[in-house]
Amino acid sequence: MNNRRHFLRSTSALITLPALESIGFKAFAAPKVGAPPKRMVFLGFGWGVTNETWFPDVKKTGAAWELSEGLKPLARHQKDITVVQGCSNKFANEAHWGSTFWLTGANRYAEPGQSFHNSISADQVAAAHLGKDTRFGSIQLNTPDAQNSGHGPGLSLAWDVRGKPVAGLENPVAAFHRLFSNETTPLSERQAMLAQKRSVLDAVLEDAKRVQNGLTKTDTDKLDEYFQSIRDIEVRLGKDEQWLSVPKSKPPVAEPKPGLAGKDEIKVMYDLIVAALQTDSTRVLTYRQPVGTLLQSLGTKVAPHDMSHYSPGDRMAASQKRDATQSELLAGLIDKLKATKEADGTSLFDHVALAYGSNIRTIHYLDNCPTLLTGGAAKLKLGHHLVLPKDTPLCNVWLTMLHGLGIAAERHGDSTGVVKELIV
Amino acid sequence: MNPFLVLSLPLLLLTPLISAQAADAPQATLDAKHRAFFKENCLSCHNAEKQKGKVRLDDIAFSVDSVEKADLWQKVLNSINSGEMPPEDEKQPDPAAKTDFLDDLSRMLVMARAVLSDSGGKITMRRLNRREYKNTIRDLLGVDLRVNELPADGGAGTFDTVGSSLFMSSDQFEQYLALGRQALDEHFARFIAPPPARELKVHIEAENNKERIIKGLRERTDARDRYLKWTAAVEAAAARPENAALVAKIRSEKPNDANAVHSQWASLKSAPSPADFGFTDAVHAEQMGRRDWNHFVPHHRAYVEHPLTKIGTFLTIDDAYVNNRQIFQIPSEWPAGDYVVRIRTGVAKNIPRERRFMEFGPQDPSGVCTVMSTHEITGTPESPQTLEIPLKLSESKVRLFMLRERGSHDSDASASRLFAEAKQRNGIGPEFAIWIDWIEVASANTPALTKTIKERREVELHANAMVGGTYNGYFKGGYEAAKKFMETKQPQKGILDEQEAKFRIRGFEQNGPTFERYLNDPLTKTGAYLTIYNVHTEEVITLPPDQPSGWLKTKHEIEKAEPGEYKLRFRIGAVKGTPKERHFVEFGSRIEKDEFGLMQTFQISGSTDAPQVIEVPVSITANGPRTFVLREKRDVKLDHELFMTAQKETGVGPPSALWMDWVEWEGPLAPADAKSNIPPVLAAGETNAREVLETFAARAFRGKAPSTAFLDKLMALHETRLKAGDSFDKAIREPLSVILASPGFLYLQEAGPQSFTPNLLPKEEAGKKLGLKDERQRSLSHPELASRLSYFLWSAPPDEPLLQADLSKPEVIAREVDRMIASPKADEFVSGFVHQWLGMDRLDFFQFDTKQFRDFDESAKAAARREVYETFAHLLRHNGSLTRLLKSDEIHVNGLLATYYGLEGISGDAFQKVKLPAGSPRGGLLGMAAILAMGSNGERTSPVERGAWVLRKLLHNPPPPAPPNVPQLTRLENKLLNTRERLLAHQEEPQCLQCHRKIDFIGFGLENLNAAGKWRTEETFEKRGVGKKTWPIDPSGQFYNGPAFQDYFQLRDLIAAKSEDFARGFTEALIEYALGRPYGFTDAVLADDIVKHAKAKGFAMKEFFVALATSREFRMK
Repeated sequence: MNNRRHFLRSTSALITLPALESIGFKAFAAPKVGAPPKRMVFLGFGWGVTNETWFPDVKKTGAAWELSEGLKPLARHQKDITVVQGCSNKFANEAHWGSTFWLTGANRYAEPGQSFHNSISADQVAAAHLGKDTRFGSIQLNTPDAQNSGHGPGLSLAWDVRGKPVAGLENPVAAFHRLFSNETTPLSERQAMLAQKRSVLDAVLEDAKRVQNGLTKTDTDKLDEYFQSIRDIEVRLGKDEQWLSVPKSKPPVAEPKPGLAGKDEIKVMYDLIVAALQTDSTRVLTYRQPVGTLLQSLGTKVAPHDMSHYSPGDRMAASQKRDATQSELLAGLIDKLKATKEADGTSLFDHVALAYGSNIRTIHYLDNCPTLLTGGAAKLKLGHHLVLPKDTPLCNVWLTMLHGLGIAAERHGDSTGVVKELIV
Repeated sequence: MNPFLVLSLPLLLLTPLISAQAADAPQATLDAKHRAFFKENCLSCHNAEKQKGKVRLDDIAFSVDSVEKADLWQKVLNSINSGEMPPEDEKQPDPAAKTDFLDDLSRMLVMARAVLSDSGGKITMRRLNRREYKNTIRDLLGVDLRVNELPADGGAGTFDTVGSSLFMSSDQFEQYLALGRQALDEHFARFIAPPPARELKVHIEAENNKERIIKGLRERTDARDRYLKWTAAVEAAAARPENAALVAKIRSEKPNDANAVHSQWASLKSAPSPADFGFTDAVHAEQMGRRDWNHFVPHHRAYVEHPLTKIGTFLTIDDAYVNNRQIFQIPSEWPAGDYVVRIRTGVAKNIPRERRFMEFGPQDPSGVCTVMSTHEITGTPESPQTLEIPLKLSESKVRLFMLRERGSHDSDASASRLFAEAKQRNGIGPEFAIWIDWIEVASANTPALTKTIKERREVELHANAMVGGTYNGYFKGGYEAAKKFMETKQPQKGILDEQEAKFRIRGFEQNGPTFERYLNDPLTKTGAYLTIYNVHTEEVITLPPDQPSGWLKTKHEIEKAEPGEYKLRFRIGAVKGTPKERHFVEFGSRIEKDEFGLMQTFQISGSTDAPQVIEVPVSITANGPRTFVLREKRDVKLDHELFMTAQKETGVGPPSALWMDWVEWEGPLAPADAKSNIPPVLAAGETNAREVLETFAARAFRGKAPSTAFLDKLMALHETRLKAGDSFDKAIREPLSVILASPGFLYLQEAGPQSFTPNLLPKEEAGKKLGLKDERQRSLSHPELASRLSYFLWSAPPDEPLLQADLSKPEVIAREVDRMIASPKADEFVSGFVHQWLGMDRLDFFQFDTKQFRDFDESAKAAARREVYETFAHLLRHNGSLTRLLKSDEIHVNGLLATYYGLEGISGDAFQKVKLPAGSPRGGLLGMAAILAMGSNGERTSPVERGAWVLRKLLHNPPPPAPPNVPQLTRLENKLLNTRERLLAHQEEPQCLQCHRKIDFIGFGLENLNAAGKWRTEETFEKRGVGKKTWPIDPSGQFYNGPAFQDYFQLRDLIAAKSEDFARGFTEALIEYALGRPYGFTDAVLADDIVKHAKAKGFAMKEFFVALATSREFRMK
C-alpha cells in the first residue's frame, strides 16, 4: 500500500500542476465547536431570464427596492434575498454557454495551442475547506436535460482544481442513493471490499505506469486525468474508511419516484439539498437545473432556445412563466431552509450561503448576469438591491461569499477584490 | 464479387503518400484600410494621453499573435457589437463602414482564435468515447451495453473523437468498473454458462383481452340502464306540481340544457339520489350514463361486434377501455440474451397508408412507453404477415413491452383529436386499422428457432408465363391485329399504321416459331431453357424485398430477406446433342436494370435426364445486390447474329443448350456457430487464471502486451476472491473487469517519438514556427495504426485481419480501407460522423407541432434522420461522388418516408434507392426532411438557421459564432410581418447586417419547404391579438457579393456548383474526426492535398478516405 501512495505522490510531482486559481489561503477560521457548520449552495439555470421583467428597477436600490414581476413569488422572503446587478465574467464570449464559466470566470482561450480551457469553480474552492468533516466533500447535482438547457460544456456546475469538469448526479433517484442508501453488508465484509477496491486501484495504476512510459508531454497531461481520478477515489476511500462504521444518515425525505422531470425534478432536488445539509452529509452543493423539461412541465410548447430568444408573444410569455416558476421553486427552498432547525435552535437558512443565477442574462447577453443571493452563512447584506458598476467581475461576488464563509482566498477567477457593498 | 476491390486497384499504382509540406502559420491580420475607421471613431478617447476607461488603443497591433492581443480586440468587438462604443453622445460611425469593420474584425478574431489554439499537428492521446466504448465491449465480449450512465462526450463544438475534450473523472472510472463487470457477467451468462435446456417461448392469442372488453361494455350498459332509470325517476319527480316552480326556474336559467334538472335533483322534492342507483353523485352519473356512453360506447360496441375481434385484436386510438395498446409480458425469469418477437398481423381494408405503421417498444412500470422500432404492416387480416422483431434482453429487468399504432400517441391531444375527427366522420371513432392475430416471443439462439427461409421455385411457372405472355400478346396478338389492319385498314390495338403492321407481321414470322418451339417442348412443362437472343435468356432470382418481380409473382409469401449469408441452389442440365462448349452457366449479380456483374461460371456436367444441383453461397448486405442472374455463358453482343444465322437456316433460333429444373434459396444461415466470432473469455475446463488474464488483456489492449507486474496484481485480486469463497468462474471476473477499467483498454495509446528509435523524421517547419517543443515524429507501429484506422472507420477495435495486415504499405492501407468501408461495422462511422458533421443534434431540439405537421411524427423523424445516413453510406460504399449530396436524381427512402414525400410505389421498411421524378425538390441534402426540419423550430422555418447551416456545412464559409450582447430589436412588437420583412428589419443595425446579409437570403431560397420539409407555396402567420396574414412565398434572393437566384432549384444549382468548397469543408471535418484534434491551420496542406486528389477523381467518396488514411499525418505520432 505504501508503494502505491508513494507512486501517486511521485506522479503528481512529475506532472506540472496548473497554478491554483484561488491561491494564498490565510489561516482557515475554524468554526467554534458546537456552532452549526457553514454551507454553500449554487443553483444555476442556463438561458438566463426575461430581461424586462426579472430585474428589479435600477432606480430603487438598497433596502428600499421593489420586487420585479419575475421575482414576485419570492415576496415573503424579500428581506432575506439580495439581488446584485452589473456583474459579468469578462471573458465569457460564448452566447449559448450559461454555466460553463459561471462559477469559474475563466478565459476559454487562455492556453495557447488549446481551444478550450477552464479553471476551478467557486464551489470546489469552498469544498476544499468545508468538505473535510463530512461524508461527501461536495455533491454535484445535474439534470438529464442539461444539453437542452443552455448550460454549455461541462458535467455539472463544478470544475476541479485543474479546470476539468466534475461529474454530477443526473437525477433525484441517483442523488438520493448516493446520499442516503446504506450498505446492507456487514462491516467486516465492507472492510474487505474497501481493501479490494484499493487493490483494484493498485492494479490499474500498474497498467497506467506501462502506458505512461514514453508518452509525450501533452499525452502525459491527458493520462494525468486518469491518475487524478484514481487519486480522487483514493481520497474518497480514505473518507469511506473514516465513515465506515458510521451509517449514512436516515433520509429525512422519501425515495423519489423515478422519471421526474422539469418542475417536479427541481422541487425534489431542492428537497434533497435540504436533506443533505440537514443531515450534514455534505456542506457544498451545486445544482445545474433543467430548463427544457421545466418548460415542458409547464405545458409550454416553445423550445428552450427559442424561448431564450423571446420577442413579445408566446415566447416571452414562456420566458416569464419560466422566471416565475423558478422563483416560486426557490421561495419553496428558502421556506424549507428556514423551517429546518439546527441543534442550537437557529435555522438551516442562517448557515447557508446560496447563490442563484446564470452566466446568460437573456437572449445572447452575457453582461449583468442575473444574480440572487440568500442565506445567512456568509454574512452578506440581505434584503437589498445592489446595482454595481457595469462589468464588475462576477467573481468578486463569489470571492465575497468565500470570505464570508471564512475561506480567505486572495482571488478567484478574474476577481479584482471583494464587493464591499455586500458586506454587513 | 466485391465491386470495390476493382475500384481500389488503380490506387496501388498511384498512391504516392500524401504528405503535407511545411506551411507558414497564417497571420490573423485586420486590413489596414480599417485604420481610418479606427482612428475616426475610437482613438480620440483611447489614445496615449486620454486612455478613457483605462483602455488605450492607439498602439493596438493590427496583427494578432497572442492571447492578450486577441482578448483586447475581443473587447473592442464586444463593445461595438453591444452598441456601448462609441458612446451615444459621441459622433456615430457611418453604418456601411461600421458593418464592414465589424465583418472583418469578427472574421479576423475567429481566425486569430483558430491560429492561437492550433495544436501544431499534435494528436492528443484520448480515451474511448461513449460510442467507441460500447462497440469495443461488443467486439470483445459480444455484449451490447447500455452506456447512458457514461457522460456525454464532446460539447465544445468538436467531434466526440477529439482527445482534448474527452475527460476522465473518478465517477467515470467507477462507472467503467461497474459496466465492465456487467458486460462480463452477461458474457459469462451467454457464452460460457451452459445453454438453456429448453427453448423459451410464450404465445399470446391477442383475442385474450376480449373478455375484459366485453365486461367493460357490460358495465357501461349497466351504468346506462341505471342512469336512465335514475333520470326517469328525477324527471317524474320534476313533473310533480310541488316542484313546478323550481323546475321552471332551472329550465329558464339553462334553457339549452335538458339535463339541468338532473344535477339539481337534491333540491327537488322526492327525487331519488343517484347513490341509490350506484353512482357517487350526479356528476358521476352524468359522466357514466351519458357523456362516456355517447362518446365511447359506439366505438366500444363496434369493436366487440367486429368479426375479427373473435380471433384477434385491433389496436385502437384513444379509447382506453378498448385496446389502445397491446401490452405483453415476457417472463421475468428469462435470462439476458437474443430473442425474437413474432407478430401475426395485418391491416384492414381501405385504411390510409399513414395508418399502417405499428410501433414497438418497452413500457416501464409507470406506463411510459419508449418506441424502439416502427414497422410498416403490409399483410391483411385475410392474409396476415408474420412480423419478426429481434429483441435483445439485457440483465436489466425490462420485460414488459407494447405495440401500438404509430402517430396517435405523440400526445394525448393528438390522440383525442384523431378520435374526435373520426367520430364526427362516422359517429363511432377511428376505423380499426391494425389487427393482431397473435404474439409470440421465443429465444433466438436455440437452433430450432433460428430463422431461415427456404424457398424452392419451379422455374417454369414464371418462365412460361413470361414467354407465353410475350408470344401470345406481343407476337401472335400483334400479328393477328396487324393482319386485321391490312384487311380492314382500320387502326387496331397497338397498330396505327401500315408500317407498324408490316413490322409486326415480320416480327412474328421471324420470332414466332422460336417461341412456339419453346412452349411446345415437353421439358418446359417441368423446367425452363436458358436461350439465346430472346424467349428466356435469363433466369432472374431476386431476394425480396427489393424487386417484387420473379419470386413474388409466383406467389411466394416471403416478407423480408434479412442481410446475412444465403445459399442459392439450382438444378440444371445440359441438352443432349448441343456442343460441349455451350455447357457453361454464368452466375452474376444485378443492381441496375440489365446490368450483369459476373460472379462465377460453372461447367454443367449433368443432363436434362440427370440434372445436377449447384450451390452458391451469397452474401446479402443492406445495400448490396439482391438480384442474381443465371444465363448461358457467351458474349451477348453476338446474340443477334447467331440468331439470324440459325433462323435463316432452320426457321428457328439456335437450340437451347441449358435447361433448369428449379432454383432454391435458403437463409440467412446461422453462422456455423454464432458464438465463434467472439472467443469466450474462459474456454471450457480452463483453470489457468494467469493465462486467461493475459490472453484477455492482450485482446483488450488491442495488440499491446500487459506488463508482468500488472498481471501479478490481477492474479492477487483473483486469489483474494478465491479465498473469500468465490468459485473460479466468479473469482476471475473481478480481475477481468479491472482490465476493462485500465488505461491500456480505455485509452488509444501511442508512445511519443522519444521512446522509439526507427523512422525518426524531422518535424514540420510549421510546427517550429508555432513554437512547439517536440521536434521529431515517428511512424506508428502496426497495432497503433490498426487502431487509428479501425476507430476511424468502425468506431471499434481492429479485427484480426487488420492487425495482421502489413500496414507499412500504402496499398495495403488502401485495401483495408476498402474492406472496412464495405463492412457493416462502417455504419457506426456513418452515423457517428454524419450526425456531428452536419450538426444533426438540432433535429432533437424541438418537439414538432403535430397539429400543423400531422405526419411528421417520431417515426417519420427517425426515418428522415436515417435517410441522411443511408444516402451517405450508399455513396461511400458505391464510391459515388460527394457532390451527390448537393444534388442528385435519386434518393434513399423506405416506405414510410416515400409516403411522406408523396412518392408512389415504394414500400417496405428497408431503405432503397429510388429514381426521382423530374422537378422533384428532393435529391441532395437540401431536399431532405431531416435537414430542413433542423432549420426550423418545430413550428416555423428559420431562414437564419438554414442560411447559416448552408454557409457552414455546404459552402465552407461559416459565419462567426453568434456574438453576445448585440442589442435586440423591439420596434417590431405587435406588427404582422412576413418572414422576409421581419428578417430584413433585423438587418438595419450594422452589428446584425455584417452577418445577416450573407445568411438570410439563402434561407429565403429554401422557404418553399416548410418546417417539416414539405413543399408549400404560401405561408400563414397568426399572432394572437394582432391578426393573421398569408403571403405567397418569394424564394428569390442573392448571395452576398454573388449571383442571384429565382427559386429553390436555382439556389440548389448554385450551391451544387460550389462542389469544391463543399469538399473542402467535408475534408476538414473528416481530418478532425479521424485525427481526433480540432482542425487547425497546421492541417491546411493536408486538406489541400486531399481535396486535390479527390477532385481529380470527381470527388469519389472513397478517395477522401484513402488519401487521408495513407497520409503522413495519419500514420505518424
